[in-house]
Amino acid sequence: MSLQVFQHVLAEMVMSPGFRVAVQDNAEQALVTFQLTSQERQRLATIAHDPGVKIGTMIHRSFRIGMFANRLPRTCTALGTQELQRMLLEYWETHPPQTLFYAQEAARFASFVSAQIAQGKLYNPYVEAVLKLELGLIELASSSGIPEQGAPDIEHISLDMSVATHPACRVIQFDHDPNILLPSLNAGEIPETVPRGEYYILLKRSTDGQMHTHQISSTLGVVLLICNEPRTLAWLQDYNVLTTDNAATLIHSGYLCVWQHTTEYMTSSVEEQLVV
Amino acid sequence: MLHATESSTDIIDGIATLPKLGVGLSFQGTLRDYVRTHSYTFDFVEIIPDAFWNDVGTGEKSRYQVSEDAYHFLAELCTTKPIIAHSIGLSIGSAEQFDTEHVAQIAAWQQRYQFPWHSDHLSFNKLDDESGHAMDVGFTMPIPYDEEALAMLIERVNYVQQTIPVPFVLENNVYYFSIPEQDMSEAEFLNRLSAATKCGLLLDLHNVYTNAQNHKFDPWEFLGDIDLTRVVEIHIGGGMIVDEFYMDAHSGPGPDEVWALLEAILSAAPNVAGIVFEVFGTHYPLMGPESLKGELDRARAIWERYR
Repeated sequence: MSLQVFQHVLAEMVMSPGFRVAVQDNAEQALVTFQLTSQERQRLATIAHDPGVKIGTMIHRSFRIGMFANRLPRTCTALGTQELQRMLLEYWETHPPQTLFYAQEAARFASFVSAQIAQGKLYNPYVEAVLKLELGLIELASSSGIPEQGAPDIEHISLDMSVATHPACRVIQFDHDPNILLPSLNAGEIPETVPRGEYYILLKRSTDGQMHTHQISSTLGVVLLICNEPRTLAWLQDYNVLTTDNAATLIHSGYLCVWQHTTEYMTSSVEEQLVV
Repeated sequence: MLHATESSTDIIDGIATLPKLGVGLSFQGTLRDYVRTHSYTFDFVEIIPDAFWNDVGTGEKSRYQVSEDAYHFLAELCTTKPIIAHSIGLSIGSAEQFDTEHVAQIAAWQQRYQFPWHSDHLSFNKLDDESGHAMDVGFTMPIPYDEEALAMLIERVNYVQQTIPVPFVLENNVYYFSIPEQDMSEAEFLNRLSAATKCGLLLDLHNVYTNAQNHKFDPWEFLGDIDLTRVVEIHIGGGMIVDEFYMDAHSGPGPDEVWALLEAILSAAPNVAGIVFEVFGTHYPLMGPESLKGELDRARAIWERYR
């Protein structure tokens, strides 16, 4: 059914201004590879000249930007207008729209931004940490079935017991003072100067679904980052990360949880693996 | 002059027996407080069910993820007001795909929330990309008003109506570019689709006004060609001018001409069961509760004159 092809080409003209201009300039050449009826070719050639297509492009892009701005507002601010525009243009060219849903589109864009940083295409002192913060908020907000924090009585702690950072928690390390950086970004501004240092922000989702954000000590921050992967208490003790007494305290406080010791690494859902 | 085209009784029966709900509010997240504090200003709530779930994709187990907060909110809401569903996710005009899982999801929610009718848009927004992944343009793209498209839609509307046991209502599209040399006019397409399937029409008067502004036709003439007996629901809203185009932005109060169209339609459309005012959540904070109440009161005054 060539209506399928027609719709694809029409959507492409809306999503890709470059393609629309190509159809405008030489429809026969631009459409040669598509299986279209002569009526459809003529229609598309005419539509390419319709000024309303630009409005379609604007709406399409506004919608996609809206998804980022809604879920990654601080990241978008931290990028700055010029850099954000550059990245959006590249993102739009390489990432066709796959979803109407904000969390998924934001996660895709976040992956793109992370890749830009890893590839050395983006240098920005604040974006990496802010992006992790906002992704952590998205993950926690969309997660379900998070077990109760705090632990029932544990009769004994054994060194072969494994612990991990509680799934209701996310820890993000900041190289710049988040107490100055984040309020400024919340207000839509990039701060002029932010003191450097080692800071840790804890995101915690309580059982009533509320999100809590606060700064934690470097000591606790390092422990929780290390325990993003399940670790045995023996390992933690051997590497001077955590004593068993401190581990028990962190379990009772809801920062860590005990994992069923298994040689299989995370083969089932988090809920099934957790003991407490 | 607007008039109602005569239709045979057996075609319009399902629509004619719908409860006349009155004036409704299109729900957006920023309207939660308004819904709680101003419930006396509207008779029912129109929800966009897609806004309450996270759709992880076709074929996925547990495809539609709904938060506990959403379920609680809707459970509380439907004890106080009737709810109707106005979905954005069916993309019924997409030639290469027809989302039967989406239809099943709407069916499940109809059973849960007892919508007296439900609606979606006569347009397409979803396609598959080259690797077969679902792709979404993010707004309602026009479909050609051709015999081929009509045949496709008749089959799909029939499927929806066989799956969900309450009337299905389709909204006329807003379009910023038009498809030339179509087999029939938009009005003829809507009439023939509705006559063939017995589906209802959601007549978005602000869409008609927007299209008329941008494509230079007479909205009164357009409405004169519509079979008004098929109209179940009416949408009204406001817009703004961007880059020399009038936009269906749902940005605030409706233009006076839209209100005039509403008054004329209600006097001539016997089966209208509800009028819904739409404002986007991002625009509501600028509009404010008093202005929103004003629009709902204006709709009610017209409703009470003709119902």
